[in-house]
Amino acid sequence: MPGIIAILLLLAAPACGSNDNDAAIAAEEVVVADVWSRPAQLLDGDGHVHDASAASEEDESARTNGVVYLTLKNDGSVDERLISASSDVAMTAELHTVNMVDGVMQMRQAVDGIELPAGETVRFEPGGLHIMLIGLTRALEPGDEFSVSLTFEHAAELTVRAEVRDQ
Amino acid sequence: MRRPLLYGLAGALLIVLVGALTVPRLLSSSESYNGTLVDATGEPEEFQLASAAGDVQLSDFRGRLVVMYFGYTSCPDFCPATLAKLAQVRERLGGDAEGVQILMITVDPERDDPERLAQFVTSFDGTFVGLSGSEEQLRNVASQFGIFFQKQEGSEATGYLVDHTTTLVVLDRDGRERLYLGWDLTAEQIENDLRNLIS
Repeated sequence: MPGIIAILLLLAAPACGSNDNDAAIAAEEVVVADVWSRPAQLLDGDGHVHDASAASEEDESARTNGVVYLTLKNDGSVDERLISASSDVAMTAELHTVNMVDGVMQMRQAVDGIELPAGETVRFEPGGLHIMLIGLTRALEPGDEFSVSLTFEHAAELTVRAEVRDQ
Repeated sequence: MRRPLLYGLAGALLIVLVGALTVPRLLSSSESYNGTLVDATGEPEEFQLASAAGDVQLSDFRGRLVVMYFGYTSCPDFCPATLAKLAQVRERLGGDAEGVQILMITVDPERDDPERLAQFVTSFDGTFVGLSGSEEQLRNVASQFGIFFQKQEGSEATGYLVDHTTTLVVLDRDGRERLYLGWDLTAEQIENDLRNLIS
């Protein structure tokens, strides 16, 4: 049995290694992985597509919002903090927390950013932490990619690619 | 001595009978449903709300299971996640999906007019129906199913956010409230519960 386990580990190791190299980008000591978003159609209210950015700026009620999920790992020895985010497909972006209280969803802007304690991994995932994209400037189709820039307290700004997934 | 004994025996018999009738029901309920069954005897109060195709009454959906979700189109996380999950449920149901109507009822009437709602819900599944109305109408509908919603101050960019209950409410073919589905149930678990109600 130990022999079989060792062989399985050897077989698995190269696959894990290559995935990590492909998906994760290190910014000093913060590692970003698994950056994704959901499909979104622009909601202009009357069923017609107009100049999305112009409509969004004029009328708050015509804005379409989106989301980005990702995983942040602080590989350093000091605590870090994600301060803000921005994207090339949205007018603005905010960091949000979600709390469930007696079945009621309470979403709030994390105005002080999101703490990334030293050595820990923080996951932004459905029903929890997320980057809210406000005022999408284009529709997001499955398979599309777009840029997300992350600003940290200590580490340099980092720009990563988010993949639109149909899930 | 005899009478008390008789009363005692009759009482014991009654307890056994009631137990025999109710326990299997409770057991079968808790075993086969992932959500919370409701034993509602009456029908919910009729309501009329606006869809992009015109006014809709709850009784229009009689004969089908109705799954109601209360949310809003500006919500980036929970609402798209729930509608995507419900679209998966319909796919999993295959031919049985024809007997299930998904409704999204807005908790944000200020921004969600029927056309915007229709665009939003049909991007997940062409059969989904979005319903809007006045604040008062929506509060009346939500409260009769125990759904809470409240505006919260947002940023300059978001304007405001809306806290809301994420539970799905399921009505049976006769329009009776039958099941509550928590936000954390999977598409497979919801499919299982809806199939139970269909069969």
